[in-house]
Amino acid sequence: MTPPVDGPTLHLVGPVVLAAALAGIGVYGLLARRNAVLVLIGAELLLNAAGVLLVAGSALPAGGLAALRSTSQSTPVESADPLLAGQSLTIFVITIAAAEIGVALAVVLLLFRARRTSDLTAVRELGEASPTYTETPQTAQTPQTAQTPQTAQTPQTPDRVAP
Amino acid sequence: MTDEGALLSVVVPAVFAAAGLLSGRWGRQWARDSAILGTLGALAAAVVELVGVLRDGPAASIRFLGRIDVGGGTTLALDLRADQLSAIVAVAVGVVALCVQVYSVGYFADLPPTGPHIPDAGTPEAPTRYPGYAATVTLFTAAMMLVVHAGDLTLLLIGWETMGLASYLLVGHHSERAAARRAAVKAFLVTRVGDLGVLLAVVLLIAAEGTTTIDTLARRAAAGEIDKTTLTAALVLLLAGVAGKSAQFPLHTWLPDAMEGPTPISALIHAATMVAAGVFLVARLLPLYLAVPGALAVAAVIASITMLGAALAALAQEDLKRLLAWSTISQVAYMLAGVSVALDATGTAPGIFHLLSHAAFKALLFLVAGCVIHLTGSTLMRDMGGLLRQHRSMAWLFGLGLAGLAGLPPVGGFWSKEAVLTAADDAAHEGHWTGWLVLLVGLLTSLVTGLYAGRAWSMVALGRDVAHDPARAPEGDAVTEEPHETPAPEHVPHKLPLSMTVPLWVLAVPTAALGLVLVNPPDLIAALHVDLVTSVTGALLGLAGVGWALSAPRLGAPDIADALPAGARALLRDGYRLDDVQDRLVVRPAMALARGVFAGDSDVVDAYVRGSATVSRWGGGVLRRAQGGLATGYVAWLVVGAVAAGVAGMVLS
Amino acid sequence: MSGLEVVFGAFAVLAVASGLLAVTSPRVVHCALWLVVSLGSIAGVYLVLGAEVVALVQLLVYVGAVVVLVLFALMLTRAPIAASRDLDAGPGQRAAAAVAAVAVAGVVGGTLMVVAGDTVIGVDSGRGDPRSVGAALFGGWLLPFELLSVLLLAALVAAIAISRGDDDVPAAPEDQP
Repeated sequence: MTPPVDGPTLHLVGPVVLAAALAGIGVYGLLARRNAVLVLIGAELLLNAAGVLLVAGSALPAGGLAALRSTSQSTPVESADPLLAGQSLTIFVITIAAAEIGVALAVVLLLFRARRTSDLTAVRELGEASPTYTETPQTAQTPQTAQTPQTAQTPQTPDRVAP
Repeated sequence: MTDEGALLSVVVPAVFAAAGLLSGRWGRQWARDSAILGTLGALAAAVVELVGVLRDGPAASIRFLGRIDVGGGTTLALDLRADQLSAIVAVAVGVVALCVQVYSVGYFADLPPTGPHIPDAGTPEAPTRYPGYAATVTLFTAAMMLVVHAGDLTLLLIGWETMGLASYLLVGHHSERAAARRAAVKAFLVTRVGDLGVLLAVVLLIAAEGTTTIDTLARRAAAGEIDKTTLTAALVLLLAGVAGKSAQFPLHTWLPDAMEGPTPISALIHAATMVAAGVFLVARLLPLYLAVPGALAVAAVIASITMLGAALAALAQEDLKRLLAWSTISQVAYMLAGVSVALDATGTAPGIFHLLSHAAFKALLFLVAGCVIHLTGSTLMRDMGGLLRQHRSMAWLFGLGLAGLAGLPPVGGFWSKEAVLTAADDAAHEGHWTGWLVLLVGLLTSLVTGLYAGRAWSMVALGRDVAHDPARAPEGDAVTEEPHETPAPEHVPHKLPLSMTVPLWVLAVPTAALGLVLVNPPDLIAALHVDLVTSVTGALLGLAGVGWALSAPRLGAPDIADALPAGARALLRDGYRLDDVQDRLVVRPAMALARGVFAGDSDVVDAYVRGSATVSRWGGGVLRRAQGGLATGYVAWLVVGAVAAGVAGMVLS
Repeated sequence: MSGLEVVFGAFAVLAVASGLLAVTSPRVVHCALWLVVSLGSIAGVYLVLGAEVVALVQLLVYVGAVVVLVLFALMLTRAPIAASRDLDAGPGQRAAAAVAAVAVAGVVGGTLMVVAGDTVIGVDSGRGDPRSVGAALFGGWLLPFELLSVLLLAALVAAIAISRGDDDVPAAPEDQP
């Protein structure tokens, strides 16, 4: 199925598999990590997966895959998308990711200042109503992020998180 | 004239009662005036009605509340009826009510704080609440007038129930006393049981006959058009109401306890009017009763049992008012017995005549008792005594009333009692077994009545001198207003006001002289006659009883009842412990049922309500676990949702 | 397989491997650095796909700014330098996360494979040069572009407002709980 088109070609399968794998890894990082910052790293990978898909899609004509279907399957396409939707959107995605991570890390810092920890499992109660909330931190000056959670009341939900 | 009289006799006291109840705030003077005016108006209207009836004859239907269509083709005609029966009884009610109202003014006068403590007039600290009391008495008068004049059983029922309400309010007037409250509730509940019978009878008659007009029913019954079974059932049910209102066995237990109410109330309601309403009902419906002889037999049996039993119980009472109460039960049984041995429609005469004379002498007795209680500060007979020496006129009035009670000639009580016995004798000679029953029991009761009447006289009027009792100071004879002696330091001399003494004299007149009516009787009691043999026997028995009682002091004890064995005496005094029987048979099961229902409601029904709250809380607790607080947990659910949406989209497309 | 595909494959494998290491490494700084490698590989992928500007932006913004932010955050939150097992959640949660990850990858990959499994795209048509991208951005995508600048401003303000906390605000009197 060598397409009679000039210039290098690529099977769309590649970017798709890459995007899927990155998405999976991103989700794992999002769910399996305790440190807030590391969770955000997972989120970044997820966003990158989207970006890869978008850029790969930019090689498709303006009608997208539908226009592709109207011709036979293995004929290559002329990229005729004047809007360059895929690439522009990828740039936008990157920008938004930057904005998002800025705000997210500001929140993580605030969390750290309030609770002296960035361990997400240690901050399960919200706000001053929680029984473990204290004005002054109980831990030492250089706390580990890996401190044992003080939440003795609420049972561990990790097992219940699984679908 | 008749119509207006009958109408006004109901309407005037009703209006004044309403006015009094609404405007009691305006003070004692207005309350007193409106009450007395209302009662006076009722009496005047009744007199006008009586004159009209005697001259023109009865008025069968006087429009009162119009016609009511109750559906099913039945129309109730709420009319009044004026005839000799209603007019005469209305006049009697009016007289007694007026006397009681005037007496109450003095009875409820503000007592000095250091005065004697009147047991049934509340305490000096408690308010007398006279305005409400007076208005309720007027209301009662209106209700009784309505019962007397009702031409339709439904109207009668209205008046009947209103009387029950007024009686409850008045017995429990001094509601700061727990005993009064309990007595009022007991009176209401026991009479209510009887009232259910009346209500069922009315319903039965509406269902069977389509009308409750007394005239129509009487005509139909006389013509034999009413189904015998239905009529018997209705009449026996009505007898239940009679037993309740007139305090006959077995619904008599409320009357002795109702003596917790003020003495004027006992005089009005429980001597002269309400308890007589039951007998009046039977008299009014006599044509129906005559159509089914079984009902009258039931009445005769009830009356006989009550007559003798109550008289024996009166013999053992320590409290003067309770003695008079049991005596009332016994005398009302006499009236009922008199009506139950009637042979034809004129047979109401003996019972009604005894009703009238009983109204007079019993009201007199109660009012005198009230005066004595005022003077001595106690209702127990052992605290009284020597009345003859201290208040001669009062004592003679008391004696007059007791003579009427015992049926000693020539006072009115003798004539009425002997009329009843004669009627029983006549019925016996006609072959009715009820006649024999009433005659024999009635003669026996005459003896016992004489006994307790004599006992009351010997304990209250004779006996140890009150003056020598260091706890009591000699008080001026307020009745003849002799000068006072020096009072002891503890007591302020207590002078009985005119308002309390004049009604006594007023009532003494019919007590003594009612027999004179028989010289030229109206049609109602024209059929009355007194048989010589029976009456002499009855009178002798009465005298024997009185003499026996009076001879007791000579035998050692001032109280003839001391001759009774202690166990029997206690049994009689407690009214044969029927209160306990009622308690066990009715009250306890009812309370157990109530407790069961309450438990069912709170443990079963409420459990569902509480359960829904618990379930909600539990559900909330379970759902709360989803809010683990773990940020990555939330994200996980997000991912799950997204994956599920994607899969669904894939599958569905 | 053309040479392009080989290069693409190499970059892809690198991206995936370093991403995997980034999310599983027990040392935080290694995580950040592996993230750098992953993002850089993805920039390479963009280059292979012919999107030069996007690759540059990726390197500049993601690798240059975002990762630096992440490192700063790690420093400010006193992340442990040494290897620490406590960075990961409990084994149950990790297993569940793995399942979720496989599920997501499966959904995304499966859906797209079914749709576009056999498609072949041409990657070198001069579409990714700055001129074309600029014309597109400031042409058809002008409005989103402007909105994004507002978004960045908002994010900036928000980050300052959040992270400033109450330091410059007069402290409320200490109240005993």
